[in-house]
Amino acid sequence: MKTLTRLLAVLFAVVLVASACGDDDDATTADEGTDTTEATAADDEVVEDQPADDGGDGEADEPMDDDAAAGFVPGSPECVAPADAGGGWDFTCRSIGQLFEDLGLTENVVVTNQPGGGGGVAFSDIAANRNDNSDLVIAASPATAIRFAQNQYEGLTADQFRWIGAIGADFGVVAVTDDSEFETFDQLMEAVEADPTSVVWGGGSPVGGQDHFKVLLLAQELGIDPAAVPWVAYDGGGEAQNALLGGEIAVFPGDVSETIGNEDLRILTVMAQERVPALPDVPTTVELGYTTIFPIWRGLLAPGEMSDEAYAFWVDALGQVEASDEWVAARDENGLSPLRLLGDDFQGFALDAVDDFRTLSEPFGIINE
Amino acid sequence: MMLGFNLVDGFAAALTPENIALALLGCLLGTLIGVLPGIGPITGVAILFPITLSLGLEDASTLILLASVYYGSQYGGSTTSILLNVPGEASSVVTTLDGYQMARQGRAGQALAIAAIGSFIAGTGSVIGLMAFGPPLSEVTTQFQSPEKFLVVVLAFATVSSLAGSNIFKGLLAVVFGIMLSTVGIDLQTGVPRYTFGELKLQEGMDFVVIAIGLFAVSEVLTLLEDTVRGENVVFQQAERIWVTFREFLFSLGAIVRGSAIGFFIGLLPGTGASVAGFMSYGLEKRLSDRDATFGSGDIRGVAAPESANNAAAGGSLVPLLTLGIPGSGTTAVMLGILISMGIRPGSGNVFAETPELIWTLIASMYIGNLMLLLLNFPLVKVFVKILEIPPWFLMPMILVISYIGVYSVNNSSLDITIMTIFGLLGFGLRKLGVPLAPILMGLILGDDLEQNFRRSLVASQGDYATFLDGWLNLALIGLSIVVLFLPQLLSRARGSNVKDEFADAGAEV
Repeated sequence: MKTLTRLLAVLFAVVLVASACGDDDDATTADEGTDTTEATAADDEVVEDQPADDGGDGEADEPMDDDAAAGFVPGSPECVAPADAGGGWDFTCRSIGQLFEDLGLTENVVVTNQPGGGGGVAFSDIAANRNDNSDLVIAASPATAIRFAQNQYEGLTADQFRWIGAIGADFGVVAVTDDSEFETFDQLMEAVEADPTSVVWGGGSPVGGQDHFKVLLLAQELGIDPAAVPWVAYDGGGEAQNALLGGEIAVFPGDVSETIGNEDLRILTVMAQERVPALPDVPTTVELGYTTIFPIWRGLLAPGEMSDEAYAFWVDALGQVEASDEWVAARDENGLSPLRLLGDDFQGFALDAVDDFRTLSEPFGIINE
Repeated sequence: MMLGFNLVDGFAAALTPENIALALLGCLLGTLIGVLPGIGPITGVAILFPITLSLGLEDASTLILLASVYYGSQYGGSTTSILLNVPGEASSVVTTLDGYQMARQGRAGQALAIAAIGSFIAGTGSVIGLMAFGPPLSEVTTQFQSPEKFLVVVLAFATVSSLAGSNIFKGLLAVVFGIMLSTVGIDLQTGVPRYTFGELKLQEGMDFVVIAIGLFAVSEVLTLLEDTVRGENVVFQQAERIWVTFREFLFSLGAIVRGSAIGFFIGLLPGTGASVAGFMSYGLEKRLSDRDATFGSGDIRGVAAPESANNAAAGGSLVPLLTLGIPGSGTTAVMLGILISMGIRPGSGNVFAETPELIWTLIASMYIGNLMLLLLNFPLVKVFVKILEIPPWFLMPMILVISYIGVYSVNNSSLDITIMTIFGLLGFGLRKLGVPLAPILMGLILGDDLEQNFRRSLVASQGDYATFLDGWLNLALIGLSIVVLFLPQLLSRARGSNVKDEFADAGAEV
């Protein structure tokens, strides 16, 4: 028995140390290690046909970009989720990364979680240290665009990155309780227009965050002062729903995926062009005669100095994922609606969105100087 | 009756040899994850979930494995609180107060054992609570809005004002410092960063684990170093027994039962959860039972109460999750993701009625995880207690190295390392000045709830302070806070003994 105890103690210590090191490896060391070796191999191949490099500083990844001229294939593909495991960006990396591999488009995609600063830690690290990495993609959503608009990423701007594409979108909804005085979206809008302070809204983001922007956009369309609409910020959509059910707030501008199936809620409208499969009976804002829509797209972007060949590869690969049956299944399971915006189209769309978000943020003093 | 029958079905589905093996593996793995500084139950479950998916296990097996990992890692966190004075997560901060003292007195085995036993009893109690009141209790959840939550936090502060120690002034100073730390980061109501000094990393606020390891572990090593330099040789007394006696168990039973009840009800409130439950049960236990002022110097009830409360809170938080689809804590949020991936959408009608198999399998799984942890503890406690045979001059620096590696590996941030070191030095200084450290962590953990719920209440009521007096629930909470503050005085008057009046003064200002 005593030996067994000793043995267990030793085993315990080994696992303890091993797992601590293991984490470290996953995040940085291992990836960089493989990068270097593979890049060197690629370097040898390309010397003959294209001796000059792009004028970069000779970082390990540079030669791989050249190789891509003859058909780029990422040597050690990696998807950075700029947040902890379990959230939306993590889902994007894990689901799309898995499909890249399953569809035979890339090798095994390593998912790296790099939380902090609402994504800012990851973006500033990539811009500073891996800006020419062509194997690397980053998960993004409107929250990314909003933070770019408010200068929350340490002086980085949206056009310093390459926007690859967005596939699949959740849509904003406007929800009230099923015994609410507001039977239709029009009734709600009339009440808000008549007296913006009369209806208290609340959601899972701070002022100027994703949920609050739905209110700002609607207020802008109504032509009322967006700052006059009372906004209560909760720690996530779950708490906001609880507040709605308890009557603390009257309206919750949430997302389709977090509200479908909840029988205590009445969803007045989906902030989209066309009806979404998950809520076939709910009219959209466009149907009701408004122009505001709010797609929460799931997308990828890339470091600013990714080569054109690599960018073309990732755009094409993401398009193939979007067209696959496997993606349709994953999308439906997570309550997302179809969306396909790739390459330059997406780049233009995203940069426009950033401009809009910036204009709307200005009155709130939340844009970093 | 219907519900009871379904739980039996749940156990039938859960109890296969394969699943029992998975539960054992999960608990072991979870315990190892939990003792690693920086990785708590949430991260553990979030990391392991994709792996279990790729194993292609059945739904029931996946639930059992993850529930076991969850319990294991929560217990692992308590282990480091007791053995090393390093709270692994917010809910086990108070466990350090008496747990570590017990370890120094050679009673680490009893502390670990009572934590496991208390958790097990609390787990059993919360399964019964879920079965009996699950669906009706969901009504209670929506009654608790921001004003009520604010008052619950006030009640928590009132209950634990006894933590402030012998010098009220220093205790309050520590609480206020903790609350100040909790204001660092992006303010939820305005979206404006506060006290971040342009550091992106600080936008998400002060990381509890980093502060806790700095204040407790790093300063502990510094104190140890100082003692060694002075020639005082610090040794832990060797353990005589490694399990509790029946007498000790009976002695702690009241604390366990009260801790379980408090934990379960606090767990019902979304967003409050386990950390508040731990503090409150400890505070209340100290108020009620600390006749000889033994709390804080190795009283076994000081370990039993918060550890039971933690565990019961995990059970309680399943109620809003399963009935309303509202995740009340980080762990239940991860669990919600898991359930959705299995095709269950909690909140859409009555999941107890519509998908009883998986719901009751989930509850049965949590219970099996709980039981397995207790069984696993008979051999594990021996192993853990052995760690204390390593001389402190070697052990503590080792722990420090592992802590630094662990903290760094979670976020890959050198800023974390800097903050941890600064707080280590600060903790060392504060110890010399006699400022208690636990209230700092309490302020850090509860400060955000206090502030945000206060401001939410006022935004929602459009500036009307009467919102805090609106409704019987608010009035009851205010009344309870006042009673709790003056409880020691009342008790001492009733007993005719002279419990120090300062407990009452301590809370009056919080």
